[in-house]
Formats: sequence, C-alpha cells, structure tokens
Amino acid sequence: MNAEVHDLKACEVSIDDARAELERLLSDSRFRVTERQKDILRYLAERRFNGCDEGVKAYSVALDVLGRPSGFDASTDPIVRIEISRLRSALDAYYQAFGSTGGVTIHIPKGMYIALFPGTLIAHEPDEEAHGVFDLAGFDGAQDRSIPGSQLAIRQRGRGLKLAGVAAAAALVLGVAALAGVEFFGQQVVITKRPTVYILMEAAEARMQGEASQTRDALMTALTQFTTLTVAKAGYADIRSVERSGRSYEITIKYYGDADDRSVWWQIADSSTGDLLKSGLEKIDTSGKSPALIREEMAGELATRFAATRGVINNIEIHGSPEEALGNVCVLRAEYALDEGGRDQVAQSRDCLERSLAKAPADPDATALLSRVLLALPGSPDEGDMRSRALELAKAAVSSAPLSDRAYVSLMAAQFASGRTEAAVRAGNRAVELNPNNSDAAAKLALVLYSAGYKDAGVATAHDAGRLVENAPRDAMLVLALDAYASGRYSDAALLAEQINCTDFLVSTLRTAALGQLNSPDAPERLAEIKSKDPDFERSFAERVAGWHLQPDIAAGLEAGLAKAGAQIDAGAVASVKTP
Amino acid sequence: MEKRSGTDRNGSGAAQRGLWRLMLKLPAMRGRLQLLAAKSPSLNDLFEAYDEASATVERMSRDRARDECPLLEEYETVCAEIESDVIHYVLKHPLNVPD
Repeated sequence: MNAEVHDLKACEVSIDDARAELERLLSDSRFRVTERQKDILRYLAERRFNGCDEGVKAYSVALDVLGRPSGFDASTDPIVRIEISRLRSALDAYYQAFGSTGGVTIHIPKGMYIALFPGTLIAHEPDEEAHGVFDLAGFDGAQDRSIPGSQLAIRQRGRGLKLAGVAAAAALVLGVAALAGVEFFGQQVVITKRPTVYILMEAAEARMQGEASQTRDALMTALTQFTTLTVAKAGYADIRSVERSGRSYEITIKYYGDADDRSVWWQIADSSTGDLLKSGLEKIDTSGKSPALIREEMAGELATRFAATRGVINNIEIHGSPEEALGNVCVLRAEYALDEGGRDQVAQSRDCLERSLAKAPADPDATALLSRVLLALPGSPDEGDMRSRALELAKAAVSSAPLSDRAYVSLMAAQFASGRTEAAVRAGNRAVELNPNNSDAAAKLALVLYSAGYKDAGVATAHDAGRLVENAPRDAMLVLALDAYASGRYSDAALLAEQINCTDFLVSTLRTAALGQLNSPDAPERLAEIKSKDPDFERSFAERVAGWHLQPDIAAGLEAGLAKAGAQIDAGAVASVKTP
Repeated sequence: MEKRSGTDRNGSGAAQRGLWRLMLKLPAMRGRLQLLAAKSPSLNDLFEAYDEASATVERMSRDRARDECPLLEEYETVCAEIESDVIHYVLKHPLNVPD
C-alpha cells in the first residue's frame, strides 16, 4: 500500500494544476456524486494543499464534513468508509469513462483518506490490493521521507516558493532586527486568531427536532453577531484546516422541552484533542412567551455564554494562550484589563496590541481595542495626541469592520472622550443594534448616556444590560451606583460600588464618597487606599473628573463626599473643570 | 482495520458480499451485474460500500427501535443511493446478455 502511494506521490502535478483539476471535476455534471461526497473530496484536497501528506483520520472527516458529534465511533458508524468508497468508485468510473484532462487525475488510494493528484491515469486492479491491509493508521510518514523518489511535485514546487519566501522574510527580519535591536534568535511569536466553533444541536426527543433546529439557526445568528468567534458552516467545517492558526471548538447541544420550560445541555470540546473542556445547562421558562421569543431568548443566553468576552470560550483562549502571544488573545486581554481597571495591565495590553498591529496592521479588533486602551491611559504628557489617535483608530476599525459591535464601542468611547456626545450615543446605539446580546456594549452606552446628562435613559439602559446576564457588567453597575449617589441613596451607592469588581479610580472614588456621605468609619481607610495608588490624588482630582466627563452636579457631589471622608480637595476645583 | 482475504475474484470479501446483496436486491440485473463486476474493478468500492451500509442497516434495525436510532434512515438512504448508482452504471454499460 505504501509503495503504491509513494509511486503516485512521485508523479504528482503542481498545486495549481491539482486545484484546477479539482475545480474542473467538481463542476463537471458527468461526475456522478452527491454533494456530501463533493464536500469530502474538497476537504481531502484542501488538507493536502495545506501540506497534510499523511492523510486524515475518519474521525476528522466525520466531524468536519459530515457533522457527526464529538463522540463519533467509526466502528459502529462506518459512514466515512462507505462515503470514501463511493467517492473512490465514482472517481475511477469517471476517469475510465472520460479520461483525464491535461493528464491530471485525482485518486484516493485504498486504506488512506488522502487525495493524490498523479499526472497519469490510475485505475484500481483487483489483484493490486489482494494483500493490502485496510489500516488507516498504518501509513508511515517517516518511511515516506526516507525515499528520495517520493518527493512530491506539489511539495517540490511549493517548497521552492516557500524557500524563496522564507529567505526573503529572514532577510527582512534580520534587517529590521539590526535596525531596531530586536531579539529574534530562537524566538517564535505566536499570533493567535479568533477561535472557530462548530455547533451541533440535536433534540433529545424526535418531536422537538424542528424546534431544536430553529433554535440552532437563531444561535448561529446570535454567535456571529458577537464577532469574537468564527462560526463554522454547518455540516462542512474545515475547522481542522492547517491554515487556521486559531483553536477550534465543538459545541454539542442537546435540546429538551417540557410543557412550561425549555432547557439545553451543552458541552464544549477541543476539536484537535477531543478533550471535554466545559459543560453546562441552561433553562428558560416558556410561560406566556411566543415560540419566536423562546428561541431568541435561548439563543441569546447560549451565545452570551459561549461568545461574550467573559464567555466560556474566550476565557479558555485567554488562559490557554502563551503569555507572549499576539493577535486575538491581546484583544481579549485588553478587554479584561479595561474592565478591571488595572493601569499596569492596561499598559501591558497597549504594548501587546501595538505589536499585534505591527504584524497585522489591518486587524479591526486590535485597532478598536488599542483605541480604547489609549483612552484608558490618562495622565500622559501627550494626552491630546492620544485622544486624536484613539479617534482615528476607532474610525479605522469601524471602516474595516462595519458590522462589528467592538468597533462601534471603541468609536463611542473615542467620540465621547473627544467631547462629541451626540456622535458617541449614535455609535453606542449602533453597537447595541449590531449585537443586542452584548450586555457590555449596552452597559457602556448606559454610562455614556448617564455621564452626558441623559440620566433616565442611562439608568434604563443599565437595567437592560444587567438583565441580559447573570452578573451585571461593570459599567451598568457603575451607572446604577452613580444614580443612587446622585439621588442621595448613599447606602445603595456604597453597596453597588462595592459589588463592582475592579480597581478603577472612578469606582474607588464613588465608594469612598458614598462612605464619606454616610460618615462611615471605613471612609478614611478607603481614601488612604486611593492615595496609596496615587499620592497626588487630591490635587489632580479636578483633572480626573474632566477625564471622566461627568456632569458638574455629579462631580460636585463626589467632591463633597470625598471631603467628608477627609480628602483635602481645593474647594470648587471641580466646578472650574469644563465638562461636556 | 479490515484484513482482506486476497482470494476472491473481486479483490475483497466485502466487495463479493456487496455484489451478492445487490444481486438479491436487483434480481433483474443479476447477470449483467456479475459480468460488469468481473470487467469493472471500479465497481468493487461501490460493492464494498453497499455491503457495509446494508450490514449497518441490519444491525441497527436489529438492535434498536427506529425512533431510537436516527442514523438508520441515513444508512437506508445510502443503500438506496448505491442501488441507484449501480443501476445507472449497468444501464450505461450494456452487455447484451440475458439476466
């Protein structure tokens, strides 16, 4: 068997010729195969073009092409062997009947799931395989490499190009490194991409199949709205493609229904290892709801669970990626850092994003997050320039990804920081329109509305954002805490501010001011905590307030609370600050 | 990992069994099928696929009720498709022999 494969490989044509033959064959109506077999052939060919010379496993074909669940077992479900046999037969019959065009044929050898592109017509002879062993794992790649004659035309030509490319890239790297003094020897930077997910939803009972299928469609829509993941096409997922450097996940969902509730059990598995990573159960009450509303609610809940920045998959991505990795993981880490408010983490994120953009300048996600990160680093001597750059970056992100809620959130933040409140609100509304399930975007819009003086709208939006998820987003909590403070409900304000899990200065200030208003003995301690982080806090308070773009009455209220906590802030300093 | 006997005329026991199953299923084409099987090695893969799909249908039908096994219908469809492919092949390759 190996000898046959080696011989065929030795006479293969170039990738361009192979690809041309694949496309020609797939578009030829005389090639009698089902769509599913065409998908399998394309999959095998693409894997080969991507450098997979040792064939793929039945498991990969079953999951990636045939939509089988991660628990696929070829011994009880031989569909891959059957479909490959049919495909092989169709290929042989076609070439026997119509011959080859330009001398190129496509061949799937017995015992391996691999597409070969020999330059001669290959037909099966019955005796040829008489002593063969049908062993998918039996192919020995090491032996392949030891036979000089087996050097692929595909590989040879590809390698020639690759070598030229590598030489050019190496020269470039050497030049850049020499100029910039960069350490490059032995270092390989990992550029992460958005993870790819493949969804399989089935009903626990046959009668629920239609409902499950509609919910799945709604879920696919909701997931794509998040733009944090790449959602693989149903039934044919090239999620194992070598070209993808992002990880891939399989989400298996089982749909259950009783009279008055619907629930789904889900599990997420790593596509490359098959390891089960996370599992859970979601349940929604259906009483008084239309079927469409039930679907939307379930899809929204699942999409948030899987695809939100703090969702299951992005959490795995953050913790599973190397510290020094660039790309998508920098975007996620920046979102975490911005949420938690730690200045050091935000500064690290800036570095990570700048380096990612140096490698991939057009990445809209990194562009959008860099814009937000620049705005979160106040106090720089060139603050004005930073704001201008942030606005330019946000506009660039929206321009290159006009359907991204992330890009619009960054535009909202940049416009608000530049004092363009109306434009900021418009951008925020657009972000929420693009992804109604993004509670973070809604919460950020709420803060912009509230800070700009649209207090009722801000509070209503914050309540909405909090309803979407188990834990209300930081900005939604902040709006509610600010509103409680502005209404004189200092106890509520202190409690809400305590629940916000971050080290942001505005939150710390609000906590301290609320405790000050309550004459709490904890207030001086909280003030001391703030001063330990910024000894110059009292003197620079007015500048900070300007950076927060709060309404004068709220800022003055905070100032009064801080004074009661013992802060020595110049009286009326805040009133002199220009606010939007 | 199926070991091939190497003794049967069609290259594998599965292909031979598949041919027999098809001859039972399509009695009107028995004679032509046998002759074509001897002449057209490309049919062997189809026969093997038919044998495996038919065996899977039998096993699934025996082991579980239809509504417990959603794959049963898929395998029945695969069998029907292969029968259709074989009929198409036979009609495209007339041998002028009695059935």
